[in-house]
Amino acid sequence: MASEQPVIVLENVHKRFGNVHALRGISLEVALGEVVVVIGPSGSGKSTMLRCINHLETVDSGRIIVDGIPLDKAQNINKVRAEVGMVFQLFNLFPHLTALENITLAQRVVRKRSEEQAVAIARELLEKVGIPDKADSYPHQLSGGQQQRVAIARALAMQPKIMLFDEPTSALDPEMIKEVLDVMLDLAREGMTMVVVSHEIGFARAAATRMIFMDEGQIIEQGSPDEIYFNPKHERTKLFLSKVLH
Amino acid sequence: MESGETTESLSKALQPDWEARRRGRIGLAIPWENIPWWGIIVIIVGVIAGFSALTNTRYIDALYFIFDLPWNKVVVARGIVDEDGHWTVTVQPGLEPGHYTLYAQFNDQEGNFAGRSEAYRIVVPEGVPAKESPPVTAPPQQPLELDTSTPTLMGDAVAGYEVIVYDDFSNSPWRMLVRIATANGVLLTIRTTLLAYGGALVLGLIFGVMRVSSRSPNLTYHAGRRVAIGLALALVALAAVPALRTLPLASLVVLGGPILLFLLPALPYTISTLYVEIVRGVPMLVIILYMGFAVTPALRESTDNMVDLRGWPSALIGLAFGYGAYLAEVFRAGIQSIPRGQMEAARSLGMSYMQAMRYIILPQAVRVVLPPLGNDFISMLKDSSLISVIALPEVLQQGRLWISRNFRAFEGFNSVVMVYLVMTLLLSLMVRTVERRTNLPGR
Repeated sequence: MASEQPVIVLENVHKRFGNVHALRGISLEVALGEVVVVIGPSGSGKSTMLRCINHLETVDSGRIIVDGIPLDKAQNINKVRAEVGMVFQLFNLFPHLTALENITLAQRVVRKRSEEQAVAIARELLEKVGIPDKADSYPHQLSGGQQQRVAIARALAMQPKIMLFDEPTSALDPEMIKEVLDVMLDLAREGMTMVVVSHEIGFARAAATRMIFMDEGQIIEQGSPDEIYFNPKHERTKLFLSKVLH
Repeated sequence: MESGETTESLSKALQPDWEARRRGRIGLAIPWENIPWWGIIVIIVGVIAGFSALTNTRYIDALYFIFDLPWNKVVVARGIVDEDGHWTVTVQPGLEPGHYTLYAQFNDQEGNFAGRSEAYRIVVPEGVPAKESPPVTAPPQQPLELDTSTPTLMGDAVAGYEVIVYDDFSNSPWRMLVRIATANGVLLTIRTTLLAYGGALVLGLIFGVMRVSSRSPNLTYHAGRRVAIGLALALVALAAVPALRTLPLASLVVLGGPILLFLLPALPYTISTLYVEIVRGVPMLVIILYMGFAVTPALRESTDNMVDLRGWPSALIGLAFGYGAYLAEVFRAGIQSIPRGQMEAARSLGMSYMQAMRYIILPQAVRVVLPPLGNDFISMLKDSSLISVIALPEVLQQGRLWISRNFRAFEGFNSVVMVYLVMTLLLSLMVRTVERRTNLPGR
């Protein structure tokens, strides 16, 4: 299902936060329609890599090309960001807007859609993520799982080519994880290109076309989910998985 | 535990602990939270009215003076009733063309109100001179058209009484509005506070947003383009303004333009920080004196009276400029209190920095900073008394004028205190209401 044309290209990307060398030469290509799941211990640079793809962090050296546009000129950043949806660990919904307004605001401001058009798209997406009745609720009135689903709908409303998920389920109660993962699975089945930082094994095995294990700012190992989980080659991968899988 | 018992203990827990209240704050053991907001106003007004009525009429006199009441009357002439019981007064200076309702009021030797004449309705036509003319001896039946703008009125009254002729315009809403807009005392204080605070809000918002911009921006980014634009602008300035073409000025412009544009990404943070740190470090009184006695004369002189800020405008600008620094800090704190994820989420949706600021950050930040903004509003109301140092007739200045006439410092200052207290207490009630109404959902 993956075509040959890569939509995300990282070439030897380095990123430092003061003395911390967060990314040490990451090179990665993601093809259209691929679902890449990234795992690794905390502090291994998974989230930093994701945020670099969206230019929420600027890289110190190396190149990032998203959808054929190199991320080095300021003019390109907003253009690229509109094509790349991002879902955060802590949802980051706008608390002063209702669920519907959360989804329509960027459509109107960035995509210059009319109010009616934006609302129609928002209602359609709320239907898709399974909470059409929560359109007029404020974020604090929603459960964590519902908030995360609104956040996914908000990102999808921009009709992005790529979706980035930064640990979308790790701030959720166990009973709410499934409802979010179901939405993500649907997306993967529809052929959305996704990069997911997550330790959800079920999701990885069901949806991932490729898994990446990162440690200390480097990509240690990649392969199919079954290879990584049940037949890891690298010592560090084995050590990490022995702690994660019970 | 049974549910009924739970409800009871809950309601008990929500009751104020009267005993603790008495033990802790003996003097303030009043159940403030049970008094409605209008109750507090009634108490304040009642205390003031009762206090003034019970002590003496001096308070009423002082409050009249401070309020600059009444707004529908202007004294146009004064005189004394002679020994024969006749009085004759001439209106000075002349009246503008229009319809007038003049009354003569009589005060006895102690200055107490003794009576009032019937209305003298007169019409001053366009273009009449200010000349002597036969006096109007009695209130006319019909409006009386005059051939002078300085009419003389005549009548009879008790010998030795004082006559005060006043122009009553209670039937002319426009003149009432003008009178209120030009009134001294309380109204001047309110106008000053509102306008200066509005200006300070604008300044604070602009500089507050500038303060959160990057401390160490990337100066090299597009540096060549910026320097070229700076050079072009400098050349345009040289071509447009002949006065700049002397060698020292020209070199300054040609060098300064590109340097300024090169530093452009760093300017918002630098300028706003300079503004905040300098203005916040100078006392308000000094700023107002500086505006009034240094900047205003200098501006007037250097622009040939074109820019004349004497009096109220200079005080307004001084107050707004001084408070802008405090409000900038308030806005900066408010913006920085919004979690970083909000900006990231907005940017990840493709919004520009300014769009994210406008639609996401500021609407949340404003709700956060409402209490300190209200606090500064009340401070501004109090600090508006400082403009009395450049002789503007606001509440304090009016109170001091009254004291200097009557030598009654207690009554004068008590009246000033009461007026300020009523205004600040009402204001804090308003601030509280606004805060409640605009609470962020869920907070």
